[in-house]
Amino acid sequence: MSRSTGTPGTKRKRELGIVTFALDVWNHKRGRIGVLIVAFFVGLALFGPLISPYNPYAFVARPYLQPSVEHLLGTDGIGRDLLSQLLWGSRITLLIGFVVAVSVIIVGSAVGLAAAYYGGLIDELLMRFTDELMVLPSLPLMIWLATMLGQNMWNTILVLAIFGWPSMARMVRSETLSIKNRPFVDAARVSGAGDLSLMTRIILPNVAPLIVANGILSIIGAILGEASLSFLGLGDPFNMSWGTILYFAQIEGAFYNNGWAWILAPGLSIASIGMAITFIGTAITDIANPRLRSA
Amino acid sequence: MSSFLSVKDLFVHFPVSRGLNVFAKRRSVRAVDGVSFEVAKEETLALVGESGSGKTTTGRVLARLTDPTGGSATFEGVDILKLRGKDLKEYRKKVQMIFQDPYESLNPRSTIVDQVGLPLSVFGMAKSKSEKEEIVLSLLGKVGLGYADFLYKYPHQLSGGERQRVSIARAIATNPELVVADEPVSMLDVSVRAGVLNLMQDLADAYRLSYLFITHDLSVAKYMSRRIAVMYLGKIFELGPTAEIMSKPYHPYTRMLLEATPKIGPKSAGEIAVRGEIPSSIDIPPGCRFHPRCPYATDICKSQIPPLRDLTKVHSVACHWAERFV
Amino acid sequence: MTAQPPELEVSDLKVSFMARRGEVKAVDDVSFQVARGEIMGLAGESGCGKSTTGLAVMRLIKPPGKIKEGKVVFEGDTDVLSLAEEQLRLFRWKKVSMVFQGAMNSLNPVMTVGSQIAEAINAHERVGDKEVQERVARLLEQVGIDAPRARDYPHEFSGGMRQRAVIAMALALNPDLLIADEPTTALDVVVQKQILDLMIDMQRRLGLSMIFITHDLVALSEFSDKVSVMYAGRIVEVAATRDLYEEPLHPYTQGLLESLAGIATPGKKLWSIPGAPPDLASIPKGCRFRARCRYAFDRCAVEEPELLKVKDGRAVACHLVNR
Repeated sequence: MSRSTGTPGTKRKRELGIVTFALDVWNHKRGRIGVLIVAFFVGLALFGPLISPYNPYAFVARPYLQPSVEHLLGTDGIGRDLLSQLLWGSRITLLIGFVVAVSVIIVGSAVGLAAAYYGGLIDELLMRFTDELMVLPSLPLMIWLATMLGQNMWNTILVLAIFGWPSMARMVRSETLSIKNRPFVDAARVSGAGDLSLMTRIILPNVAPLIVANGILSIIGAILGEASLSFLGLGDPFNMSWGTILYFAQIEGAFYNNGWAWILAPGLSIASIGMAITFIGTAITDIANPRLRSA
Repeated sequence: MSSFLSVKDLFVHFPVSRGLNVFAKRRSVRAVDGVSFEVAKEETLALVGESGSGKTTTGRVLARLTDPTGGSATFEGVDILKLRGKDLKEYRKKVQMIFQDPYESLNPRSTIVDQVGLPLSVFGMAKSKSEKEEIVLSLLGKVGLGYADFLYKYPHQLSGGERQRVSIARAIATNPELVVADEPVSMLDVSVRAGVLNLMQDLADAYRLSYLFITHDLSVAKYMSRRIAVMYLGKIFELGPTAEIMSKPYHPYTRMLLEATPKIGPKSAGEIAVRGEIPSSIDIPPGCRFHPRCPYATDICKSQIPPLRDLTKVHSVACHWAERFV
Repeated sequence: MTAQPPELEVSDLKVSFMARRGEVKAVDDVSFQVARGEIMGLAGESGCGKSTTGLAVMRLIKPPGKIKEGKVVFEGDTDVLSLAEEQLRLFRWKKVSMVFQGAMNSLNPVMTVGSQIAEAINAHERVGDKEVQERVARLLEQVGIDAPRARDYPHEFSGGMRQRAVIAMALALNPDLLIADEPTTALDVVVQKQILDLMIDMQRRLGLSMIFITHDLVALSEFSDKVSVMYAGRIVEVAATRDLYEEPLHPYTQGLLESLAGIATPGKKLWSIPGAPPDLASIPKGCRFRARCRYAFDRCAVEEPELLKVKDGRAVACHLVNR
């Protein structure tokens, strides 16, 4: 009877939404810059420590050396090579940012999905709990928790994740609410799908774009949060992140000793990756809109 | 006669939020307000009505998507409103639904084969991926889309008519006995409707399906159904054989509906003037809910709700003055 | 045969949209006339270009759309497509106004209905407050709404009343031509009939000319004086209403009418037109309906048929008819 007039697709080739999406981000001006910067830092995190000239914790030269061939970024106030610190620090910073983001995604999505899907009492309980967490002053509490639990990278991750998931949960809940009443969800229910199946196989794939977009953005929150905690001295001194580098810079008085590289290197790195992720976020929002229009 | 589908005194009321005013009276949307009817095996009953008539809500109750506030419904003798778990799943095998919006009734992120194949997976009717593909392909063939390319396409790559056919393929996947069709063609282009309606007729003949055909379009109801129930603000006003109702309607509302339905050809002899608009389902007029618009309304119409009573063995009307029009 | 120039004459209109996949020719060489006091139905399915045509007449086409070619002449002397900004402002709403698709749902929810109609008047004319109020009251009565309801908000109006309010807005400055784009599509059938009756009434009382854009061929049959059927961006048939329904000439019109459940012969299956309309970004050579036409022959694959006059008031674009 009527052959499809849409784009032809062979039996095996599937149009992967994520591939077209990634290409769209790449073709977006700012998106491409963001992706390149992030890729650069990810590369640093992965391979940096391998090419790091020195042990970042070792005293290898006189303090406050200016950038030179042996020390491309100079040394800090204790005599440790700054470039090595930056390279090793990138791994810590990005690892923390990434793990926190993943935790926020998992916990936030689960809570948001369940609350929206079941509604009623479950929704009330979950959302009141979520709201409480959101309303509590996060920084003082994070400081307190960090102090109580001890200064250790995993505790930092835990603390950041605890305060990060509520906003994701709110968002996922609101998106799920609008999706769960769409006819195709009813259709799946009529086809016999059960609650769990409806939530994970039908609704979740439709919320996924929002989750991914916000998950990426939550990485900045995590990185900045970690930097704040470390800057206040609550970071893990044995796993120096960029924030920890800044902490040492501050307490050792780098500013007064002409240790400008000590401050700028980690500072600019944090700023650049933050900006890069914001660019990616802008690209995502711009791409999402024309999609809505053409739909 | 062991009835196939039997609905008795069905009520579906949705509470309306009172907002901050704790003293405001509790109000509800009386979507379905006392509906009873039967559908026989292999028969198509059209549920006809305008917005607010309760026809879609009735359909949803039968598809177990919405819970009623009162009343009963039995399918092949089983009380379907109390079904849970495994029994409910068994029911879904036999009673399926097609929705109005071809764009919204398919999951935008899922391929055609996965969507049509969903009931197959749920009911274990396909043991492997290739078996699923095979069965889905044959189902697509039954709705006129039997080409392998369709399997891995996404809904946005299909036209409205094609999407609706996919929904139909999904609905017949479990070999159901009754299909609730909620305005299946009203969002399709005019030239596409005929094809889908013909398809539904063919499937009904080939697979001995019954339809509960929900529509606002009397012409479509006339084409598709053997019996019609005319609904208004949650109640059935007239119920009987299609041919009779379309040629000799008794209820003033049915007559007004017929008068208002555009038709090509000689104009009907000004049956009854179209008047007024449907009030909200929250503020239903007392007595016969049609009385504000009815040219024949008398005092009894304003205070007493007319029951749906039999005028003949097959034709019932809910009007105090029905005999006058016979 | 009147000596007066027609209310509206559209010639060789072409409107295209630049999209990622190419130039979408939404309106591809459309010509028609609307006589004074005439209701012309512009009928076709979604994507045929009927709404775009209506917008083009009002010069409301925005990028990425563009009017590429054509002439729109109003009452024989106004060349709409070449009006300057200021003259265009005087033209819109005063000479030709429009009821947009879905307008009844686009009323401003935080303004009273009366003030929205008043806004339409004030935007085009300098009128004192009291006079505006009077005019609003009269307009509402004209469309069958009690004047005191001007103080109500849109959500307090029923669907039919909102549509009447929108029509009142369109009539605010006494235009000569009204373009209505699917004004009854979202309404219940009983309300639809009331609105159509209202529009016929206005045609009679005010001498209003109308272009009624719709996909509902059946509704047009009871309502319009003449019908232009559009398909894939072109007009394929024009005829007086009765002639069109009694004796459709173009295979598409025939197919459409035969597929309508409203005129189905009991026992016989509805005819369904196979296939789907062509992609307007890559229109096939020859007649654009050829792929779906049961009468297509060799000439249809090569040459696009012109809309040719068959007799007075009738034109068809089909090789079979215009041999």
